[in-house]
Amino acid sequence: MKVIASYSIKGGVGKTAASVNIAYAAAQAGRRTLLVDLDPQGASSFYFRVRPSKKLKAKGFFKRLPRLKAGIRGSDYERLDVLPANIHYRKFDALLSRMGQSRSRLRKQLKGLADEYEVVVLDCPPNIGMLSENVFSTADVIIVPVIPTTLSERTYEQLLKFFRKSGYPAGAIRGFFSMAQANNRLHRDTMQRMREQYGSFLDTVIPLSADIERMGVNREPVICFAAGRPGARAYRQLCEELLREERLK
Amino acid sequence: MSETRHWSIESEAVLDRLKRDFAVRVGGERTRPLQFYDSFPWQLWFSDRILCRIEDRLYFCSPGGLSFNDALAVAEIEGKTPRFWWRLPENLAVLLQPHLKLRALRPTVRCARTEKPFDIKNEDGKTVVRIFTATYRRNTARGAVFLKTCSAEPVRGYEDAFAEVCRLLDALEPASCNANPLRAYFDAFGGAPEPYAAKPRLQLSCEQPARDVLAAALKAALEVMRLNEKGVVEDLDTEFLHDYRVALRSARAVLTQLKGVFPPDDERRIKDKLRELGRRTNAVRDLDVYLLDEDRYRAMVPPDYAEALNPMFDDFRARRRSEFARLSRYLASKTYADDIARLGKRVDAAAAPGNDGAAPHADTPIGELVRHRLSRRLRKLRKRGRAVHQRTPDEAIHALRLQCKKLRYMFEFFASLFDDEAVADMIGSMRRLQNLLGDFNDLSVQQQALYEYYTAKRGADPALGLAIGIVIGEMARQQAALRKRLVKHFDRFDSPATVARFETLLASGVPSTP
Repeated sequence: MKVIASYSIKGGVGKTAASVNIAYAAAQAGRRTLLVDLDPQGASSFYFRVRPSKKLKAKGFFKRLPRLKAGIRGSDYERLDVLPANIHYRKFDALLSRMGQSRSRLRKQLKGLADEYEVVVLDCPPNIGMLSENVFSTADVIIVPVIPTTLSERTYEQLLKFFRKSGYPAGAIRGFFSMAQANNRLHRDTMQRMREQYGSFLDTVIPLSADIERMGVNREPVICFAAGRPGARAYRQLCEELLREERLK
Repeated sequence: MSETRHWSIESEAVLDRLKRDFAVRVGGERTRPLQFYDSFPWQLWFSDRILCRIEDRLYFCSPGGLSFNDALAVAEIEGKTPRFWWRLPENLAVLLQPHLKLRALRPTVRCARTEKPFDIKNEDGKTVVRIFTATYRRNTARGAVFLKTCSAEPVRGYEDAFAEVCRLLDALEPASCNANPLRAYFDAFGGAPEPYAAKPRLQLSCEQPARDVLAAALKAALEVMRLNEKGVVEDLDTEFLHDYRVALRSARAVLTQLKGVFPPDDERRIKDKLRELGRRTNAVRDLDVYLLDEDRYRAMVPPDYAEALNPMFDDFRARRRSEFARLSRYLASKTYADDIARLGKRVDAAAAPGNDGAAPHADTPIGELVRHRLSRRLRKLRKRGRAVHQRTPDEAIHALRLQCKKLRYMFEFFASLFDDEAVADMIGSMRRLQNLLGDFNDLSVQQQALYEYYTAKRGADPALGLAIGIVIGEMARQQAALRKRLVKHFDRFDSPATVARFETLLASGVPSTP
C-alpha cells in the first residue's frame, strides 16, 4: 500500500482538486484507492457527495480501527472509496499531542487498511501541526501544489527548511505547479526558476481552469465531466507521472 | 459488506417499483460480447469458478453474476488472452495457478451481454445502491436469450439503503436466482461439461467374467486416448500427451496383469500395437519434460555457467518441433484412425464368447483372478525389494519401480472390487516409495540422456560439455542421496503392517462365489 499526501500550508492552491482527481485517476488505472479527507472543512468529501459518519469522532479515528473502517463510504466510481472528514477532526492536533507516540499514530491506523487498498490519498488541512507531522512521517510521497508566484517560492522554501530541521524526508516532497497561466510572464519565469533551483518538481503543470473551478457545482472529479479538456488531461498526466515514481512502486 | 443479490425479474417491473420509493438514475444500455475460458478438463467449472473476458478486462469470479465489485480478481488484458496462468497479470496468476497448473486455457462459451444500470441516489445525488439488469444471448446480440438477471450491489457505507432495496425486490420475486450465466447456458442449450478422468474407474463386480472386464478396461483406456488426440495435435499444452500416454500405459498394464484372459494371438497383437503407439510418443514427451525442467537444470549449474546450456535447450526446442510435426501428422492421419478402429474391433473379438480353450482364464470370475494375481505381485515386489542394497545397480531399482507401478495400476483398476478405504490406504502407503522410485529413475535416465546428447553432438562447444558435466554430477549426487532414502522406505514398506493392510484389502468387498 502506498500513501500519497496532498499538502500545502496555504489554502486555495488546488490541493483538494489534486487529491480528488489523483484518487480518481489512480482508481481508473486499476488500483484500489481510498481518499482520506483529513481537512475538517471536508471539501473533498463534498466533491464526492459523501457525508461524514456521525459515529467517527477524533479519538475513534486514531484508536478504534473498526470504527474508522465503518466510516468508509464507496464512491460512485469503481475501485474508489472515501473516508469523509467531519467537524470533530478539528480536534486532531490537540488530541495527538496528548497521545503517546504522537507522530506515528496515523501510520499505525493506515497500516490496518493495507489489505484493502493499494493507494491511499490524504487530503490534508492547510496548516502545520501534529497531524501534519503525522502525515510527513507516513506518506511515501507528499505532493505540494504551488501557484508560480514569488510568495509561493518563499513558502516552498520554508517547507523544505522545516523538513530538514525536523528530520522528515525532504526527498518525499514533490512540488507541482498549480493554477498556472501559460500566458503570464511572472508565472513562466517563476516556474523556470523554481525548476532549476529545486530538483523535486513534477513535470506536469496544472493550468488555471474554469473546468476545475466548476467541480464544486458538478460535484464530480473534473476528469469525469471534462475528460478531453486541458485541466482533466493535466490531472490524469499528473497521476501517471506520480505512479511512475520509485517511491510509489 | 453484504453480497450482491440477484433476481430474475424483468427490468421494466424493477424500474417501476423502484421509482415509487427512490430517486433512480437510469443509465445507457450497452451490449458487449462476453467470452468464457476454461481448461480442457473444465477445471474452473468443476471448482465453481468463472473466468471471462469483456472487451479488455478479464474477470475471475465465483459464479453468481458478473458484477462491479464481486469479482475475485480483475485485470486489463491487451491482445489475445494468455493460455497459461504464468502469462497472466499477477493478481490473476496467483489465483489461477492452483486450479490450472500445467493446463492451457481455451475459449469455451461465447455470448452477448446487454446491461443497463440503474443507480439509486440519495438526496445529495450520491449513488447508494447500484442496480443493473443483464440479458444474456447466445453467441451474438441477435441470439436466443438464455438468462435475464437483475442485480443489486451494495455501496460501502450505505447498508441500510441496500437492505431496503432488497426487501422491495424480494417482495416482487421472493426467490433469488442463481445468476451463473454458464450454468444457465448449459441448462438452455445442453452440452454441460462432463467430468474428465485421465484414469477412469470401472464399476466391477466379482462375478464378472474376466474377458468382459479386460475388454471394458481396454475400451476405457482407448476412450481416454481418443479424448486427448485433438489436444495433442493442436499442441495446446503438455498434459494432453501426458494423459494419452498414461491411458496407453494403463492399457498395457492391465493386459499384462490379466494374462491368459484373451486368446494368446489377440493378446500379443494388441500388446504390440499399444507398444508401437507408446514408442511413437516417447520422443515428444521426453523433450516436453526436459523443456518443462529447464529452470531446474539451469539452477544446478553455478550462475556464471548457466548460459552455456543455451545451445542444448535450443537443440531440444528444435528437436521437439520436428518430432512433434511427425507425431501430429501421424495422429491426424487416416492410418492412425484405421489402426485405432481395428484395435477396438480386435478387443471386441477377443472378448467374444466362443473363443475359449486358447484362453484359460477367459471365464474366471474377475474377483478370484485379481486376488490371485495381486498376491503374486506383492510377493514379487517384496522379493525384488529385499534385493535392493546400497550397491545394487540402477537396473534393479528400475525393476522394483516397474513392479510397484504394476501393483498400483492393479489397485486403481480393480478398486471397485474392494473396500474404498482399504484401497486408498494401500495406495497411500505405497505413494512415498513410488515417488522416490520415480525420481530415482528420472535422474538415472536423464544423466544417460544428457551424456548421449553431448557425445553425439557434432561441433559441440566445450563450454556446453562442461556445463552438462556439472549437471550430470549434481544429478548423480542427488541420486546417491535418494538411494539411501529409498532403502529406508522400502524397509518400512516391507513390513508386517503392509502385509496386514494387504490382507485386509483382499478380504474386503464381496467374496466370489465358489
